[in-house]
Amino acid sequence: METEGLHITKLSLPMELSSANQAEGLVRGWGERSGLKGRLLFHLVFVANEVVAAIIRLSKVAGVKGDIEIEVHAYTRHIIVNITFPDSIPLDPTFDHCHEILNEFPGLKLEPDIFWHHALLKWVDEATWSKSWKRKKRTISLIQYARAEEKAGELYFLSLMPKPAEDLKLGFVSKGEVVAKTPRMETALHLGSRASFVLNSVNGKTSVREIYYSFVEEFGLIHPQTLGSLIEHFIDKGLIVPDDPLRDFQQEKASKIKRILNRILRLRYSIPNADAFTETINQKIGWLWSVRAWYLYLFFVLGSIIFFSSRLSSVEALAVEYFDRRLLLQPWIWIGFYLGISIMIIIHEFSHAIVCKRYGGRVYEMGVMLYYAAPCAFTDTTDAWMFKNKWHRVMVSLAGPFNTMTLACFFGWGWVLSMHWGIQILSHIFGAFFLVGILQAFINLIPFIESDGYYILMDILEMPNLRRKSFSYLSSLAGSLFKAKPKPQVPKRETIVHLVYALLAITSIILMLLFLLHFIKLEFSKLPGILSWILASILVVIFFDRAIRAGIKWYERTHLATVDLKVGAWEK
Amino acid sequence: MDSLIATDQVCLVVDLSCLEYISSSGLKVLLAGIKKARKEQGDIRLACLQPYVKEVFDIAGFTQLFQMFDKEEDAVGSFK
Repeated sequence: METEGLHITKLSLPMELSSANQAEGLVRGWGERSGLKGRLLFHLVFVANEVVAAIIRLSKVAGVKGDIEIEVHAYTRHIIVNITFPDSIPLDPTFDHCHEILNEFPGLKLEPDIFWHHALLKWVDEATWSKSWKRKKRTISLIQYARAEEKAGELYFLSLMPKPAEDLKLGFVSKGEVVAKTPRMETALHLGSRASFVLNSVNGKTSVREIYYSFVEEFGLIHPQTLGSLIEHFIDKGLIVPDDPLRDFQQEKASKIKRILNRILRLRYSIPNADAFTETINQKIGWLWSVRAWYLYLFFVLGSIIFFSSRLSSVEALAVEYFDRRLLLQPWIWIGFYLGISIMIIIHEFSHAIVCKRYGGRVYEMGVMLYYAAPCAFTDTTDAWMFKNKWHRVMVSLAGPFNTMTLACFFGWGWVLSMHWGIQILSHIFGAFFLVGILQAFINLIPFIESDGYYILMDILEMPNLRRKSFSYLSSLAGSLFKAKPKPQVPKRETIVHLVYALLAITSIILMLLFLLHFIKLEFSKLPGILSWILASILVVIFFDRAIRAGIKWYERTHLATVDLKVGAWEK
Repeated sequence: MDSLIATDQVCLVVDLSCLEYISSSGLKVLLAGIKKARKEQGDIRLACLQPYVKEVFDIAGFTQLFQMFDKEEDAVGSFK
């Protein structure tokens, strides 16, 4: 039994019917602490109780022994309940309960043994299930968000992947506005450009969270709850249909081979229940990201910077050595860089997640992936955007590059010491890690590209979508100067910030491109012909990738608009 | 419930006003009861359900199966 302070958060229960009551007590207690009450609490408690009871019933039928683990992760506005049970218990959370009709009583639609499933689909905000091949266990995770029962638009909508209603008809009006209607509606809805954008983005393949990102990109920062409200409104009106709240349904239905192939091809691995994982790590080693630890790192980084600045010529020589033709052709140097990049990126992303968690946020997703054969890690800490204290938001963004810098300094010292002691291999490895870390931290702090530095700057200035607004301001200003258009009317502070940012961003992007071209010219000329062509092709693909994606996005949008125009007469 | 039905008292009203929570085990008991009662040409009718308990009955489809009444007197009166 694990405890958090004096409070039990995890129970290991025997396969006895009384265990359902114990599970119920645990969920009820923590649910109340998380702010759940009334119907929402009742629903969660009922589902948890029923799931545990169903597991016990099936364990008796199948003659399976073992324990049920029930674990709660309680937060201020939501709770996660994980119920883990032996894999050999034939409880299938993905079955289609509609076929389980009891003929004995014509009025009764469901077999009592599967109430839990029906209730889970209807009453829990999010439900996922996962299978651990190693532990031979299955876990059903239930998430319930604390909210007023009658209140519309909550965060749980973010994970939905809604699709448009089959009979939805859209009519184009003007300036991105549409009129939406289904035959069930008495009057059509006239949607503004923002609401139209959201409705057009709903396609059954994109989650509300992804739509939210696109929305923020297009129109600026809003609270995710606002978008949740809109989605709920669309659902209520019958314009869109929410997806099944039980995740992994399709994936579980697919054959094992298909799943494995899919995993290999996608080369992307998400940690199941990233939030609980981060919380566990935070409880164990979270102190490494505490404010005191940050002061210590700051002291260490500043000391290291002073030290390495006094030996700039050595660092420069190290960089030159690494980009020398002789070393570039040696495989171990690539392996060193590859490993260095992987470690740095993982620590970087993990730092964002832990700091977000420490300030009470939720980590929606976390994992590793290969991007054009380059190792990458990713974490979704958008919850941090809702922190009221801007410095907390800044800390979450800063955590990544700052910890990368700290780690790089450690490797820097390793490089210095191994050189001092004459251990050549170690000095090469540490040297590679040091360079990669410094470069990565530096690039991440540049506020003129979409990096952590950019988000830090936005939070400090408290000006969301700074980049888009600044370029837009510059464009309008140019229009007023050269095309006699009206001068953009913005407050003085914003005028200065937008102008300075836009000019600096353009200058820095040009400088970065020039540097890159110079580097390519310099380095590729040292490589054998075929290798330089391969590397050049990879770079072209990477650079054009964004352009291709933007093109596809544009096509999809325009394509949607074309379809809108073809529907019935009512939109006129 | 079983003992009542066994003594030919097959028309029963269950007052659920004090019931704040019911699980599928409880529903099964009622299901078994109504099955027996109807076999003997009787019935079980429910009275004074709390809102959340009513929701459980709804989600389980029991509202189609059991007659439910807001007042105990109405449930008793329905047998006359």
